[in-house]
Amino acid sequence: MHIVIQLNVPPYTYEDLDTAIHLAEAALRKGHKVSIFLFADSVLSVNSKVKPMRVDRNIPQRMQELSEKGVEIHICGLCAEYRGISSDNTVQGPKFSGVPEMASLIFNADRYVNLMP
Amino acid sequence: MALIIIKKSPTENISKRMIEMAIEGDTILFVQDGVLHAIDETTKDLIKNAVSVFVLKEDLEARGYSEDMSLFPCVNYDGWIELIEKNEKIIS
Amino acid sequence: MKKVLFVVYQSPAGSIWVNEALRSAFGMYGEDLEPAILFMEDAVIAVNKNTHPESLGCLSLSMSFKYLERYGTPVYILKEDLEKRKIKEEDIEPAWKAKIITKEELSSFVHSFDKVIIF
Repeated sequence: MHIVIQLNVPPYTYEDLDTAIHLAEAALRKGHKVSIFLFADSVLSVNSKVKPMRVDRNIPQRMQELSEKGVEIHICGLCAEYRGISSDNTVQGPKFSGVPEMASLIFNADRYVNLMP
Repeated sequence: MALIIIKKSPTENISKRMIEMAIEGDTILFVQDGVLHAIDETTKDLIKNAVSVFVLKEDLEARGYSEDMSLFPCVNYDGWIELIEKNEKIIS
Repeated sequence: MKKVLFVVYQSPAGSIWVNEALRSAFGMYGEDLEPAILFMEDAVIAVNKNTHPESLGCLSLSMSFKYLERYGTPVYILKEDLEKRKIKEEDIEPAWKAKIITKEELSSFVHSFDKVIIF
């Protein structure tokens, strides 16, 4: 089954990125294909310049690891431009896309889970 | 049949409105601050007949409550995936 | 063809979500998708003709009108939420072509869509 998770709010401030990472890992364990669509402030979660305290989790790093495990991560391009996120400062793996790709995921995926703002 | 995922606390009106969206055969899953519905008696009155309700255990315990304090049964992340598998329609 | 509903519940002057929902809805036409928009809770403020986020330097809601016209994307608003916010039918900007639904209709309305995305 292809499961999509859409995120909308920023990492660290809210739990959504943590929720999505745990949910994606659970879906992968069950053999599902997982895609994550980063919309609005959630694009900040793949910023490679993020430097959390050592005791805290490194969300962009976790996103890169998910990508290495086969999770397709989409970044809304316009949202990224608004927030100074570009290919120069994103972790390896996620790709820039936009609303047309969101439409394609909504149409083609088996399940679409949005974490509302 | 739909899975309605509610992540907002009972203090936020939208969470009540989402509970009201449920029809017979639907499943409601409370996650994040939505798990506070699990200890809220007024939530129970809002749930319609033949609507199943679950609470994400990890989020409940992270907020200081144990499963036996919950008004609704708990699932873990694997259980959440099972609910996603079972419900083609997701309202979230 | 699949039907997708974008629901917005937050205020259009206090947050970006009305604009983001509209932008998302207009982007659906590249696939065999039929989008619709529902404003509830504070988002109903968007349809008041006196609402002007541009007076704060924010994007204007009217920039969506030409797309609403072009695509005919249906916009729904919840009656009880309009009343609670003292918005009368004559206050509604006609360009939205907004259809009013009631709280009683909400659950069956929402279930008439294949996908429901809440902002």
